[in-house]
Amino acid sequence: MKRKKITYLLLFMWLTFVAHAQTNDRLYNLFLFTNTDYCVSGDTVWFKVILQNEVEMESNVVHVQLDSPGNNLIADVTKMSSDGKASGYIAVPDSLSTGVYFLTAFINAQRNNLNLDVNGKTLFVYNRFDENVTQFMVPGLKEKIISENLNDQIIIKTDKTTYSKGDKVAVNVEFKLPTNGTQAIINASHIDPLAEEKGGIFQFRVKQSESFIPCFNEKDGVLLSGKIVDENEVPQNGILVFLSIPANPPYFDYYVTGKDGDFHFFLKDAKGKAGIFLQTVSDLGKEFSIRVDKNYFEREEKVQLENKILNQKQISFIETAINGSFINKLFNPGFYLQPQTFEMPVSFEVPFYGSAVNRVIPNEFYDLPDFQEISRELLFGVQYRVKDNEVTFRLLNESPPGFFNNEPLRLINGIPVFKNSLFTKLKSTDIDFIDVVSRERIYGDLIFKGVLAVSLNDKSNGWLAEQTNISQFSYDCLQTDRQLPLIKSNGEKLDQPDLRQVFLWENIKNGGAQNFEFNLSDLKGEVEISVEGLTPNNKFFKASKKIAVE
Amino acid sequence: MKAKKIIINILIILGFSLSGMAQFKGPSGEDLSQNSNRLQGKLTGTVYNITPEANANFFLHEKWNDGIITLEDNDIFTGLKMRYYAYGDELVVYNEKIRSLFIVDKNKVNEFRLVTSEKEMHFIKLDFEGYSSNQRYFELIYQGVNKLVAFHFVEAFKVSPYSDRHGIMRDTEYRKSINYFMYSENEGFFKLQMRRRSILKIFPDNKKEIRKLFRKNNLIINNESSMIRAFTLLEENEIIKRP
Repeated sequence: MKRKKITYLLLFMWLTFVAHAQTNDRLYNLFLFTNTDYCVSGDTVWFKVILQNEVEMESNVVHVQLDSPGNNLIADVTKMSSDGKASGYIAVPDSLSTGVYFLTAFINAQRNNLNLDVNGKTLFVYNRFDENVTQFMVPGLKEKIISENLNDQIIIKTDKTTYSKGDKVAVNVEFKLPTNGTQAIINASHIDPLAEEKGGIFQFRVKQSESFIPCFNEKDGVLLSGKIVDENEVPQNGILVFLSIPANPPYFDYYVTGKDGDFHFFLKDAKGKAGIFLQTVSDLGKEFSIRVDKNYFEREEKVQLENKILNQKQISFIETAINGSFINKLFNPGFYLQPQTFEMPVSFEVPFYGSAVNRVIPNEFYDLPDFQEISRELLFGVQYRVKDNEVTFRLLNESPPGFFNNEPLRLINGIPVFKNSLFTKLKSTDIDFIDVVSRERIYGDLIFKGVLAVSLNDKSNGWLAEQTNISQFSYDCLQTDRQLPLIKSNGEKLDQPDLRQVFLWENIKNGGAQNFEFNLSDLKGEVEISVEGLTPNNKFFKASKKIAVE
Repeated sequence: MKAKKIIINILIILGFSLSGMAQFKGPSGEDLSQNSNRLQGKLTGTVYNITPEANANFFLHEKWNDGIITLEDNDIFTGLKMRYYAYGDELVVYNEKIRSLFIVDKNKVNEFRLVTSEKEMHFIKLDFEGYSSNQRYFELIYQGVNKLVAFHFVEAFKVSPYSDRHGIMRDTEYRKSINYFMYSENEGFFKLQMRRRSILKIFPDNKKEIRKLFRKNNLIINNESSMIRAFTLLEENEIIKRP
């Protein structure tokens, strides 16, 4: 009897475990589609990711990475999703060697999954300086996912089957499959015969790139992670790290490193390329190295590649693609430039250090030669003292009245400063404004004995060179929205060669008959019109039709 | 027993006053730990040094309550110990990790909840355009088309000098009061008293209808619950109309 009970209990536990595992699998499915299966180094590849709503409720930030079969991260972007969809672009480095690479999408919350299988889509990259590509290392077929062919349920019709360069193509797509929950993307582009034969979607078991990155639900923001190590590369535990982003008002946060020397910051609503300052705070006089790490997944096993001798059709397509890309760059140099903007809407109008009790704009007064004079003449409640060539600051406390016993938080352009001599040479003409907070301020678990914030006219922060344990980084936050340009020509004669390879790429409503049209470019070859997507059971499907351009 | 209680109270206050135990004194983070990390954001404010007089008179409640704060950016802080400082309309929070009291930056707070032994009180921040335009915390008593809110405050009154129970000479007495308001997003605040006439004043065109409605429902307005009932009836009978 007792044995029976134990058996039932074990059975119940197993069922619970299986149900839980299935829930996780169901939750974390992301499906990535690209506008092209190939590109030339230096090109931009556009992607669309479909993720389930359950995922989006917890986290709405999708990571897309481009890596090599040998697990080297080539490029990565983070994009915010909306209504279960995310779309963006990834710049393929100009120097990337010819070869097959993989694009993978994931969310940070997947880090809690120990046995994670993700889909990797191949991207065939041809280096723009390669002149004669006759053989190619292609992936083996072991892990390839075969898309369900739905040519009988999604009928793609065109007005003709053979076209001339620049012709208008009229497309009719008729869905005959169950519409509920089907998500699809229509694409019309030139076919790379090599990518068509050897590319596709592969499934890989992955592991985390850096195990210390927490399984944090990124909602409307991106996680920035890194490590603090000493000169011997030993991770430093319990070190206070400050993050500063100079802006108006400035952004500030802190983190105390974990046992791996790791630190993490969550940059909410940060879009574009951020100029961030990280500094370690220690009174030990010890110098540390600050490292910012990439958040990506690595495959557990390297992809097995095999050598393929290319046929003439494949060789000439690669040649045309490389030449076309060269001419495109010549006529549209701006198209390949990546935006360098950064925006991070302020959550609160008041700076992190609180409202200034006194804001002084030195420009409104007589010019003063140094900061000692400025403190004496303009800054009420600020003591500037020099003893044995050491400068100290003390601020007056409002309540209880009296001077603080400790130094205030000193900021220059919103960045904490610990070397007071940096203030000494500041003239009133260098300064935009000075905020004095004569209060004991709390920021999380930090207490500041008043705040002295100096905003300079020069925001280049060249003075940082004199301060130790501070590093400046350029960090890619959420990717800003950008439209895929040049996808449609209006049919007018252009004063430059039209070398578009992608003509149509957009989300398509499921159900009924729909019409599309596009103009072909000056490139000859085969164009594939395809409808790709996911069935309600989250299986890849594809329906396609090929037309010839002569 | 009484003396023991006094000693304990004094010790607590001393503990709060000596708040410099785990602070950021300069270039060192040695007093902080991993528990100080919070990725979503940090609570900010100004250190508050409590005095025995403030502890006894300036707060809405005598004890520290469990509370939740929601900031303007929807960041939610739970598991806090806090008290509403009714003398200055501020929220005072105890930071256990650094053993400090601080006044939370009001401009960042959207709402907060206090769990007292009697009830859970829900406070919201509203722009009060009275004698001086400012932001104030109001207890949300009823949320319908309009809000019924209460402003809790402590007033100081000058009295004849007297010796308090510790033998200290005093000339001020502190009294807790409440002002009630109906708040509409479009029309702002209407001051209310716990009387029927006060409601009739706000709806001069519906006086007869309201009198009849209250009479029919045997409603006598003399406390918060009857005021809530009155507002519910006014909405049900579309005297207060949905926009």
